[in-house]
Amino acid sequence: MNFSKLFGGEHPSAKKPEEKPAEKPGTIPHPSDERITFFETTQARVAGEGGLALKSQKPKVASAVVTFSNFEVKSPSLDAAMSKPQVLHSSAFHIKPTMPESSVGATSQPIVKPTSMTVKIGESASVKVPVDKPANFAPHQEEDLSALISRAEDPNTPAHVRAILHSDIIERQSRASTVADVSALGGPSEEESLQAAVPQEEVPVDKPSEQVGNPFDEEKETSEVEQLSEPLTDEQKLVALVENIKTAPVKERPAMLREIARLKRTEKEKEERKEAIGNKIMRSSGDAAKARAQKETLEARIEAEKQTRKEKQQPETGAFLTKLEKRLSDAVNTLSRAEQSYKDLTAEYLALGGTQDEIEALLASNTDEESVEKPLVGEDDARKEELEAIAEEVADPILGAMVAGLAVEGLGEGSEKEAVLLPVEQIDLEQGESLEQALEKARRAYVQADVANRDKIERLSLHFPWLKNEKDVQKNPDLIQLKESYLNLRRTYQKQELEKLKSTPKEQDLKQFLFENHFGEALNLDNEYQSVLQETRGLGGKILSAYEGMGNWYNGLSLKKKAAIGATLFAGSLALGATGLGIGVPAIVWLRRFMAGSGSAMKLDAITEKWQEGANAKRTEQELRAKIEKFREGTPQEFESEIMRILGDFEKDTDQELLRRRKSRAKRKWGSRLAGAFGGVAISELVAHGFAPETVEAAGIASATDTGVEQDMQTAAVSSSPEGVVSPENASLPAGDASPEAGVAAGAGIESVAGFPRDYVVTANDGGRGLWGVLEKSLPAGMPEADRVDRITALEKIIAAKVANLSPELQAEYGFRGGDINVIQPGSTIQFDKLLTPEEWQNPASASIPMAETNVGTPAVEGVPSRIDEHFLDGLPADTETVAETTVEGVTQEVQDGAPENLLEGVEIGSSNLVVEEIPVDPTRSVLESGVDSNTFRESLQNFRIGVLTTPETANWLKYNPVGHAFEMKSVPMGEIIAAHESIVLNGTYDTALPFHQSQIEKLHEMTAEAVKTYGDSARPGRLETFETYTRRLIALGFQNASKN
Amino acid sequence: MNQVLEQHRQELIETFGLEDVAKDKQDELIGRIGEVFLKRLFLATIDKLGDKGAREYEELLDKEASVEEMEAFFEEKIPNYPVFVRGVVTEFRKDMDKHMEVLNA
Repeated sequence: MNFSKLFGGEHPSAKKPEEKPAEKPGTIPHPSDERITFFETTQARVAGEGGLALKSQKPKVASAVVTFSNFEVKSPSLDAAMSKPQVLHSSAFHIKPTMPESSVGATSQPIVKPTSMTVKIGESASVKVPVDKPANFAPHQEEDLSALISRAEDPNTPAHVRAILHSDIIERQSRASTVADVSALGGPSEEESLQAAVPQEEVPVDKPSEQVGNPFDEEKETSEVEQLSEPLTDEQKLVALVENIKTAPVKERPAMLREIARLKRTEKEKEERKEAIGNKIMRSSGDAAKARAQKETLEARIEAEKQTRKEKQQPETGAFLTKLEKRLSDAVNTLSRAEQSYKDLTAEYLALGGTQDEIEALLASNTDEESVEKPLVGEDDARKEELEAIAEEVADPILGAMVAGLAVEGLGEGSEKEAVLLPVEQIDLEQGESLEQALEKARRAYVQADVANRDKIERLSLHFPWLKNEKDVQKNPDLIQLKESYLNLRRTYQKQELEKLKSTPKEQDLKQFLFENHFGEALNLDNEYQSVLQETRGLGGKILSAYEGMGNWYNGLSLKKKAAIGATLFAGSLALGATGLGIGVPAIVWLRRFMAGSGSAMKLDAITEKWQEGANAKRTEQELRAKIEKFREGTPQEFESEIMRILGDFEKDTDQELLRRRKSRAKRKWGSRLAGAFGGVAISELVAHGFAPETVEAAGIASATDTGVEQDMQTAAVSSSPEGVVSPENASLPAGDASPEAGVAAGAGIESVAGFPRDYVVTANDGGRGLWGVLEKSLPAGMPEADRVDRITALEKIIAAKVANLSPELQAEYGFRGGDINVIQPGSTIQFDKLLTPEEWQNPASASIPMAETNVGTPAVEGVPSRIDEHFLDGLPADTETVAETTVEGVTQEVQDGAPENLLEGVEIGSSNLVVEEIPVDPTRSVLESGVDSNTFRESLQNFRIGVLTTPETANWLKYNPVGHAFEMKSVPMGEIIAAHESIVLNGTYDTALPFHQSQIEKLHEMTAEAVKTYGDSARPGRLETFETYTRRLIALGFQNASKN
Repeated sequence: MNQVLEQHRQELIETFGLEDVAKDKQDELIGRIGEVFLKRLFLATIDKLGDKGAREYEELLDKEASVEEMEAFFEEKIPNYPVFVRGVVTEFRKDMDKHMEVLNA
């Protein structure tokens, strides 16, 4: 190694400088020289920093200190160093400056980098030269063009340095040319323009790596001209370059081309940015439009949801509604952001040289399709939240997660879906087994294990009571495993089902799906429990056949029938809990009958058909009512003809027998119902037509399940003759030997009458069915159903009438404490022999039924009055034009004695203008004295009362007895009834202490209004006039009116 | 539809919260409720009859007793039938709640 070369200065022992041509300042050794030492580099660097002019001097290097990262090696003197070159050499590192650091490593040299070198030359001050930065041979800014060219053309200059120099030369020439053109136009001078031509703005251009670390950049000074003049725009530069490149020297063209390329790249980027902003403008415009539409939609939905909740009387708030409102809030915010974004982007676009026309053109080209397809920012989250709210409302976290998963999947974010969905274990299906089958199997296995476990716990708990704990029941590890397996399969199955909804993931669909799936699986589970329980109970033989037969029969029904039966059975049973009466009763009766028939599918079919027949009959009834109520004119024959015509419409869907039965029933019923409007004569004729012997037939189960009123009517019918006279000969039921007139004393011939229950001790089993059940038991087993129903109905009526006439003491003694025949107490004894004669027992339909006023307190066993005319006259005022005060008082007293105390509470009696304070004249006495047959009158009155108390609702009460009801309610003032109707109209409710069903109140009001319309003010009820006296007065008015006509 | 039947249907729908379910689906679910309820009632009836009563019931089935005889039998063995049915209904509703709890686990 030649140290003189290394240090570049004179040294006594060093080689003479003249041995080698003096280096030009900054001259880079030729690449043929293998190494460029630190010193060479430092020498150049020192020259570059301008601290020393090494250009033409040969200064004597006094000393050199090389500082490394953490230590320094100092040569005491260069002489010493020269004498012991290894001292310096040991610390100096021969590194090729152009070599990357990795290459240094590759030379196996220690990886220790020098940080600086302090060089002292002669007497001058030491100069510290940093050496930890990469050496740079780029041309100095102050180096003139000729020097650059000289260096570039020097074959000793390394190739890469020459390339840099060439590039720089070309660039300078290009600048000079451009500036010359601009200068010719009155622009800045050439030198100034060269500076100005340097791009001033920050443009993301890939600068040559050589320039990145160019220390000269830090020294670059901005000329005054540059500071004063406006820099050329890229566009101007580009134009100038494009123009000049054609005439520029060939060797300069590459640099010009590079600059043109750079500027074009910049221009392109600008265009791209403009286009990008244009797209953003379209997007923000679309977002704003969509957010606006979404806002309007949500507002409408919230309004609709609130309305729905109001109609369904649900709480005003709810999770779903809250989510909707949150979505609305989000939509409003999104709209605001989108509008602001649109403004900002538009301004930016215009700043980039765009025009408003371009923006409008862009917006016009923005298709709706694009804006619809792309969801708004945050919309995904909102959608997800909404779905979660739906899931929350159905209270199913599993399905809720699935909904969220569906939403995510629908939005195309599978990874989120994976995160949302609950883990589903791998399902191993057996060969050929479907997922549904696997689920059924798992469900069954779980239920079987649960039942077995519970049975075991149940048995053990007999000895260890603390075991009977729900949590303990679930602790069985096998059961837990089976349960998990089942639930896992269920999740998988639900997921599969959920997949089917992909195409229509509307919230309503999802909501329904979730609920149905949830509820349906709960039913599956319960069904499985029943099957397993049936197996564990070991049902066999006929019982098992009955059970399975019932299931098979049910499953074979149409969906419509199943729904009808399901609703009737279950809801009817539910109703029991609420009222203990009413609609539940027929359902229960039918249910028991159904259970009784479960041994035979045929019986079940028959029972169901009967039940349906009853239901159909009710439908007919309703339609008939609607049509016949309008029939107010014409003769009885025309009326009958009208009924036949209307009923004829139903021939298509019923058999002839049923039709015939319906016709007869309709005539009887509607003849009675229209009594108020037609008058007594019309009634009697209608009754005669309706109750003709050929129309009285067995009603069968259908009648029993249809309406108890029909039975009452039939019973009443058989006691009527065409002439309106009670006569056994006119009755279709077998008449007894004894005539009613015989007045047989109680107990006479009892032993000779088959089945006559002399007395009967009520058991707990009888409590549920009352007197009806007791009487039913006493009748022969083989008796036809229709006969049984008719006979029991007639017997009940007789007993009810007689019991009502008994003193409280006797009522209790005879087995009816409180006077209500429907209430019998276990342990009490019903003394039938005191209440019925053998004739009445055998042929109750032929017996005369005492009216209400019959000698209260007189034991009925002493006989039934042969004439009832007198009873109609009992309590009647004199037939005068005005009602005596005493009569009114009498009625009032009757009301106060007979009506429940609370009847008068809270009801504004007489508030309706239908009622009057003074009771109009009661013409009953006059009518009867004028020769109207009392029995005809009585039957007309009874049928009339039956008619007004029979409504579609009460017709459904199997055990409802309108005759008994009318008797019990005899003391209720009409003012109460009319006021109750007013309350129903105004408030939708009424004091339920009033012993009438709402439909009856409505009908009574309707009847009263109709009567006033027909007979005028004389038909107005008195405020305190009772139901009994008013209805009687109306019938009298009817007879009176008929006789006048 | 028959007014009473419709009333029953509505009560059942409200009881189980099926208001928002489509009508055909409502009918399907009601039909299934009826099936499960009938099975429950049958099994509860057999339980209530006890071993002796079950044997008697089987005898009646053997001799193909009439519906009326069967009714009388049930009436005798299960006094206050409405109360009994109400108990079955209540149990059914409770168990359905339990099933839903299991499914929510």
